[in-house]
Amino acid sequence: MVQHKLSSDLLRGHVDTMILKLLQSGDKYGYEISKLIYVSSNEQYEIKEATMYSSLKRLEKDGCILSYWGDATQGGRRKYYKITSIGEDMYTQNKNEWEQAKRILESLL
Amino acid sequence: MKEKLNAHVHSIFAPYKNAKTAKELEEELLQNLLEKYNDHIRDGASEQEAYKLTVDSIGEVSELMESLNLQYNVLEQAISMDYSRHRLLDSDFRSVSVHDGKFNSCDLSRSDFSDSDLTNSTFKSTNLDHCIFENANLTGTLFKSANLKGVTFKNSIYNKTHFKNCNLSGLLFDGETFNQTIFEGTSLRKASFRDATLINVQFRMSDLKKIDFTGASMDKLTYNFLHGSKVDLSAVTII
Repeated sequence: MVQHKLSSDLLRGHVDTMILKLLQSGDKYGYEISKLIYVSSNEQYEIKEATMYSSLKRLEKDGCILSYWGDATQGGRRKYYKITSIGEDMYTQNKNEWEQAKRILESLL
Repeated sequence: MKEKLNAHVHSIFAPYKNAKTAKELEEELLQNLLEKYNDHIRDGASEQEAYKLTVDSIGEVSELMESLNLQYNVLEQAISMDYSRHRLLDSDFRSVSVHDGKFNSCDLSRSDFSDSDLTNSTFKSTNLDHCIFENANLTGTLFKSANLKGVTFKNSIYNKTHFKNCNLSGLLFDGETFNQTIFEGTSLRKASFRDATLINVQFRMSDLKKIDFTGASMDKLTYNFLHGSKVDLSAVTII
């Protein structure tokens, strides 16, 4: 259990980048994002709603993404998120920084 | 079980119920959780298990609230806040809920109060030069000796709003609806109420010269008030 929590803390620092990557293939709504993160991580990382929303709100505030309400489906309406050009740049920058950090950690750990 | 989920999410947001962005986040989160719950049921979970998995997936509520605060900053906590005697030029009070707030003797020039809820707040001797009140709830709000020069009022609620000793000359209230609003000792010279609706509105000791009521609708009480003040009511509809 402790081990699981540690790894999720490590992953949490990169949630912004994960979301930006997912939005590059098209606009998505909240539950779609969390499902894709779960599936793409081979069911090893299940993002908490709170973690996802704190990331989404931060990205939106920084102008990296935009949001809009979609049409109501059965039950309710969904809010979709769209990546902006600022977000695209942010993704590239974060991805590069991660590659660099990965190399450093690999030689240190 | 879905009702229970709904109630659970609602209880998380209960302290924020007056804030628009909290309402939106609540709606969004609930929609996500309902879909998640349905997926768990489809995958063969019992209702009990599905509920537990879904609620557990919310995570830290405090983190959720922090994400709200990203948008409101400290103003989120602003219920009954006292902003008196502050210089708050160009402030952003959008979507903020400030019941019984006190904005007395402060400089709020060019601030934006759009979508805010200012129920029972007071603006005494406040400088509101070029402020924006769009979609604002001004129920029971008191503006006393406030500078309202160049203020934009649009789509706001003026139930029992009280303007006392204010200069509202030249301001536009076109198409707005006033209910039990009081204008007292206030200059409304050349103010425009075109196509506005006025019900039980009082104009006490106010300067109403050249006020424009073209196309306005008003009840008899308001009409009689104005009729005595020799205001041009030829293009007014009595309702």
